[in-house]
Amino acid sequence: MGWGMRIATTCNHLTGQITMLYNHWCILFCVFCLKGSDKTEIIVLNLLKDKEVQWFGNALKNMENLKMLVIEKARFSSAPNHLPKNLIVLKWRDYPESSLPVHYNPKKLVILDLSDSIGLFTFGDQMIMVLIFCLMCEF
Amino acid sequence: MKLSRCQSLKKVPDMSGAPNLKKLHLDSCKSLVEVHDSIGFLEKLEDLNLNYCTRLRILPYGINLPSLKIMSLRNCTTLENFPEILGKMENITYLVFSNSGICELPFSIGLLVELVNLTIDRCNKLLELPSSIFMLPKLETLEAYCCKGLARIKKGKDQVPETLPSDVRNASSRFVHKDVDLSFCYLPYEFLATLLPCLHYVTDISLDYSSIRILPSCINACYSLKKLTMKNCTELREIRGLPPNIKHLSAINCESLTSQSKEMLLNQVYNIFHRFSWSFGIK
Repeated sequence: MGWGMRIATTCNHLTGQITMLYNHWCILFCVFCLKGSDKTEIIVLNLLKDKEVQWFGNALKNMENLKMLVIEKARFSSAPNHLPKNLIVLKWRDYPESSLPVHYNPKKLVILDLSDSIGLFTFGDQMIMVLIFCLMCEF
Repeated sequence: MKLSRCQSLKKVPDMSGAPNLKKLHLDSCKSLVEVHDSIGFLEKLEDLNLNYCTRLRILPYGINLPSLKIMSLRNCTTLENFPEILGKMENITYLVFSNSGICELPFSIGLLVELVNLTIDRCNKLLELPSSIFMLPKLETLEAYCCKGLARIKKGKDQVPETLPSDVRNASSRFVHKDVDLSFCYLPYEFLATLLPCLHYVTDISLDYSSIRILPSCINACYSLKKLTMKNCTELREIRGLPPNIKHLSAINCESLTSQSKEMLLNQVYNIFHRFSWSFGIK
């Protein structure tokens, strides 16, 4: 079975139904190529690093229920423009930009892991604000 | 919060607005120079990891972190000063400085009353130890091997005179293994003469490969000492005393030992053997 078929069949089962996405081809297809499902709660992505994922950064906009976003190994062309406000865990290794989205209010965030992010020049003012917001809330 | 290996991070800003922070991992942030004072007062912080921050120079001026369990500064080679401890920190059990550039430890380290493991190996710039370290009631392991500069014990002004703490005689504490590793250090005579009387609760001491010349007679103040190793102390000439409860003594390759010291050791062995055979009715 070729990759295209495989993606298509697996994704048929997934679209709009399942709350957790794990197969990386499906994630890419469902989330980053089309648009995110509002029922998805968990995304764990572990890709080959040498292939850059081309996207416009808007795919996570409508994923209102996303609570856990783990990007272990993947190279993105740009950082997201939006992050869902209900995120509890945000782990994004090698985050592609120096700050989180401008309008992101991480009031529910408990774990922030941006290890290996070479882009974090310093804590910009906005980054500090974002972090303090997220760490002020009770766990 | 984990920002490990963020190579461009230079400064951790004011985090006083984040009082719920539990974990802060900044290990291998190779450009990190400064950690803001506010980090020293995060009431819920449990784990602070600054390992391999090889440019780190500035830590908070003081710390009072009541929830802190572990603090690690391994390989912070440019860090020279450690903050004053401003309050009793009753949760910290591990404090690690391995191969850091630390020059001095504050006397207030004695406020870390639950500290079990203090690791200061290969801190070559560390010249003196505060005597308060030896008053820490729970300390089980002091790893100080390869501290080439270590030469003095710093005593506090209002320090209580060295008396035998009551817990030395306490049966339960006698079975706790307490270990001091000073191998590969220089160990001048004055240093050992001040240090040894502070170690009355220690069960194991390693002085292997050190430049020790004389083992001072005050070693007999080490009541709890069971095992003393001095392997390859090629400059060791004199052993002026032995601890009363010693069970294991190793002085392999100590080629400079005087015949008097050797004789004393042999006598000691003979005495032990004699006592042993007596108690088993061999003779």
